[in-house]
Amino acid sequence: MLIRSRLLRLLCALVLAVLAMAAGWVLRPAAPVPARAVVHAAAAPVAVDVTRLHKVAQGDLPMPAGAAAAHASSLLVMPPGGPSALTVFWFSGERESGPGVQIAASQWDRSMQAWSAPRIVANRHVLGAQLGHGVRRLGNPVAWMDADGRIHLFVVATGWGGWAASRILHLRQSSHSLNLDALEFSPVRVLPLSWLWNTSHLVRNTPLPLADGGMVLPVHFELGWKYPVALRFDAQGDFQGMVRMSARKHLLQPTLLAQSPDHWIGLLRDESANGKVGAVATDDGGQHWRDLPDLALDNPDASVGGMALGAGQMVLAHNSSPGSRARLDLSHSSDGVHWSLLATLASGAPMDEFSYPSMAWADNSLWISYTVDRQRLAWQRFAPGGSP
Amino acid sequence: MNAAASLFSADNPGLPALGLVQLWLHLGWGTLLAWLGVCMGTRLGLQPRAAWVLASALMVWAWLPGPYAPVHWLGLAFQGPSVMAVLLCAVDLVWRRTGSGRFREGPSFWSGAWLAAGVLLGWALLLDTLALLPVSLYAWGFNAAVPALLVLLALLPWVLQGGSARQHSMSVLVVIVLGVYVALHLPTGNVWDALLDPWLWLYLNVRAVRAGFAGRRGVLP
Repeated sequence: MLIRSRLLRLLCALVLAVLAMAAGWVLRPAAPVPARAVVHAAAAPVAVDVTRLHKVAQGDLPMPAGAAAAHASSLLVMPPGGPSALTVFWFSGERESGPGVQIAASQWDRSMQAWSAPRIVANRHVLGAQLGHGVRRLGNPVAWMDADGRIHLFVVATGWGGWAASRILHLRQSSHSLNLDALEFSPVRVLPLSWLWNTSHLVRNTPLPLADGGMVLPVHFELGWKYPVALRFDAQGDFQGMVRMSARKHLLQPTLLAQSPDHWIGLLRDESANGKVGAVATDDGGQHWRDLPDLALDNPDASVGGMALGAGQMVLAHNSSPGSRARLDLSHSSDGVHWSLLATLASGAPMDEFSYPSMAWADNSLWISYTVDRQRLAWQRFAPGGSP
Repeated sequence: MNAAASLFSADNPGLPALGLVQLWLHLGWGTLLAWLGVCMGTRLGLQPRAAWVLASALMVWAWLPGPYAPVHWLGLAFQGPSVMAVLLCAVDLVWRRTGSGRFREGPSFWSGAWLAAGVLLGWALLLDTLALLPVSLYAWGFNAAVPALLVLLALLPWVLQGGSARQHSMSVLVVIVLGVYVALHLPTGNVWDALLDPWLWLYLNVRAVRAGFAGRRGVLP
């Protein structure tokens, strides 16, 4: 049927556009409320004086039998009153980026005051079969618990190529129990984050919890240029959107610290020759970000991990040498700009490596896990009450 | 947040369920492989019947699960194809089968405009991927209002020129793609992934270069 009137054709086009908009509106989930961060650690509702934290325990995490490599641990706080205080996830296998790498996990048993024997919770062949397409390699896992008490795992999964061909695979707990011996995950989806065959985004650091039960997951792009991106998820773990965090092209692996519900800073690994910690900030709950000057802290193109334990109570683990990862320090700050040494977590010979720290607050303690020589993982526990 | 604000927010994407994505992987890559089979068979001088047998075999192969099927590897490398690429291949297959002819675009200005739009959109998305644009174009693709805006743009040639749907086949195809996207959010939940994938964009670039050299205009296979 030919419509000869241009006005009538325009009206038809407008009607179709309105229908598309209405359908898009009806078929979409409800829009989230503005993001407001939880400033205090979930298990530390009272303010913590980070200057009075002191080490009360440390050790190595048990490794799966035959695993020659371990890296990129991620600590997850478990519900209070349960048998476990923490679950730690990491990638384990014959070597980094090896075909046999799997995601391993262990739990801190409250009654035994010890880590459980590790168990493999994600395997690339199983995940590939569940996704309907191949997964070439697995990498960094990051864990989060949603408002319904289900664990979500965000895992780096590569396509054809190396880490630059990575995508972020979103897994969700499919078992009823949180106990490690029963813990199972199934894929939700590969997160859609870029147009270029959905490469090349990676995840590394723990999410920033939001007051609505959701979270902001810091990730980064790393095909040639490297830049940080913030992803928002609702209380059930559904993807809500993405925002680029910096215009600079050499910043990756952001860690987020909330100074107030709306004002957050992101501290980043800087792969340029600066050898410092990069910094960005937002004043509107992550909608817009601005670059800040680098911190004065030394850090040799290495992953940093931080968290805010309350307003003006921030801690950051970083490699405090411009040329190696042989020393891992814990620093504290009240403003996110000026940092002071709180403790040296580990140090060794120049070729030693103590890297990729992860933090969590559980059972009235700050827990830190990190990689040792890419072969094993170590942990330390800090409790309040020491001398500043 | 009120309804109007939520409508224009990029913060509430609807993403397709995993089962639907898996179905799309097989359907999408199966259609593309079948189209490639017919094109290659024809170009290699196969009898039409043999070319169609080849295309059918490729389509069936694409539905097999596991690492012995192409979808396992194509999905690993490229994820799912765009709705537009699959629709173009499907329409071309139907027209080849029925012998009802090729795409007929309206005035050559519009066919050139479609080609330029596809090429430019791909370049913009590539630059955005590399963070070389001041805005986040890909993130806008989650916005509920963008498909409506694209419907208006797609129908612009028809609104200005008039004529039959057959004369504005690209407009019709884009509206169908947007309809599929709005209803099912395929292939990823982002409208740009529905409209254009990197392989289709590379193809459009080749067509644009060839059209530039030949002084001709054309968009579709």
